[in-house]
Amino acid sequence: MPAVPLFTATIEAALNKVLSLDPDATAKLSRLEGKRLVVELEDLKQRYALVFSSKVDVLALTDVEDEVNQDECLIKTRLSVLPQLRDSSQLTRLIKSGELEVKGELAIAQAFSGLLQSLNIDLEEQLAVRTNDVVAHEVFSLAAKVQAQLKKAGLKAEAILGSTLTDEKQLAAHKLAVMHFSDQVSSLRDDSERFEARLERLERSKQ
Amino acid sequence: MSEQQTPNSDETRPSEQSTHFGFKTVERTQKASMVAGVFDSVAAKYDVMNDFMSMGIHRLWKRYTIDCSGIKSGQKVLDLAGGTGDLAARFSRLVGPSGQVVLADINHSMLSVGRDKLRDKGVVGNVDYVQANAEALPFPDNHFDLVTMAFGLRNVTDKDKALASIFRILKPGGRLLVLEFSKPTNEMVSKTYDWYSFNVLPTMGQLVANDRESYQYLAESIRMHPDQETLKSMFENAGFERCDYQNLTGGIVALHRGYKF
Repeated sequence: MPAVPLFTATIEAALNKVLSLDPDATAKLSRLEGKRLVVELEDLKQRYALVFSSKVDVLALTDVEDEVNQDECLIKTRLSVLPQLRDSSQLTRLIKSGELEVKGELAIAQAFSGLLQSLNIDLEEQLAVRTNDVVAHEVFSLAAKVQAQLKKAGLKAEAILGSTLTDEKQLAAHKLAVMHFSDQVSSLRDDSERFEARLERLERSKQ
Repeated sequence: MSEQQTPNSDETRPSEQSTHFGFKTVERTQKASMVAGVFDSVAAKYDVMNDFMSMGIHRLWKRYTIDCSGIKSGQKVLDLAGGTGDLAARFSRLVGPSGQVVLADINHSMLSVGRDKLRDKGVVGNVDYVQANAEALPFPDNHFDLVTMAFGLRNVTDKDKALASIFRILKPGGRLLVLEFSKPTNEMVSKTYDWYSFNVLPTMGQLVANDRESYQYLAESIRMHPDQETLKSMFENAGFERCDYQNLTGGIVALHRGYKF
């Protein structure tokens, strides 16, 4: 038994932690206050409820009711469909194809999806809160430098590999040679088509 | 359980005027004040000790209780023997501003700790605090949608009277959830649990809360509490319907559920 409560406790803690990192999340969450989003995952045969207040409570429901109250949205779907729900323009297609069943106020699901997409987390600021501004700035500057160096090293390695394969070892064709070859293929195709057309015309004139 | 840990003599068998207090037999009129003494003593360290003793698993048992509550926005909940308000805090968010949560406990010390804790967490507005005896609940008939009692029923002197009192205040369609220590279903688990209860728990109580006796009482009171089937039949005798129970962590704890129709 403790596996399911442990799972919901983990999801709940992670979700609330992420929301707490965006200073504007509280205001965005307040628009959902008092509402409930119930998600039935057919693969897991389990219903989960997200109850919105000053935070999000995650419940693994044991009661199965198909009646939906006001301020409630029930979504029945499969795990594999969940990532597609981020794009609200896909909802109509998913409902029509039967991959998604929605009861109640769809706006709740859309608002929650919008909330997650609009999260703006300043990681440098978060680190500064736990350490100080100087440390956070230095860490992020260093990380940016390391990232730039890695990108530069990656591009250099790519160029060296390309040069080795094409010029030194001649295992692959040079870019210009490939382009020239493509042009020749196109020209040959054009010639073939012209020849085919002439041949057809000659055959018709003989008949 | 070893022989000295079992209350098997006739002297310990309660009569109509007596009841159990752990393995001791005491006058019925004395039990409430003796239990109060235990909880007055442990109130300040109650949450720390719960986490310590159960290795945090009590939080999962309580989460499961809430999962089984079926509670919705606008409903009324009584968290009976609510102690330091673990359940009440979550119910407060789940029922929202239009709902109501009553945190009730017979013990003033526990209620004070619970009230301070919830207020410090910002849980205000829809939570009321009532010092009440479960055997004579001071609420109108058919008032609550849900009554929960987590780790409280075994301390009640007259459990049948408490169940009848809860039945009275529940609305038709309402449900009672009792989360309580019970009888492990596996022999190995049972022996390990007994050893842990009678050797480790009192020592932990001594080290953390400087109170060995209260945690000795905890271990004894768990053994004296009715087993799963007995408690289920007590629910049915009180008038509850569709009664069932779910063993948690091998039956160390059981969640009993009953409906009033």
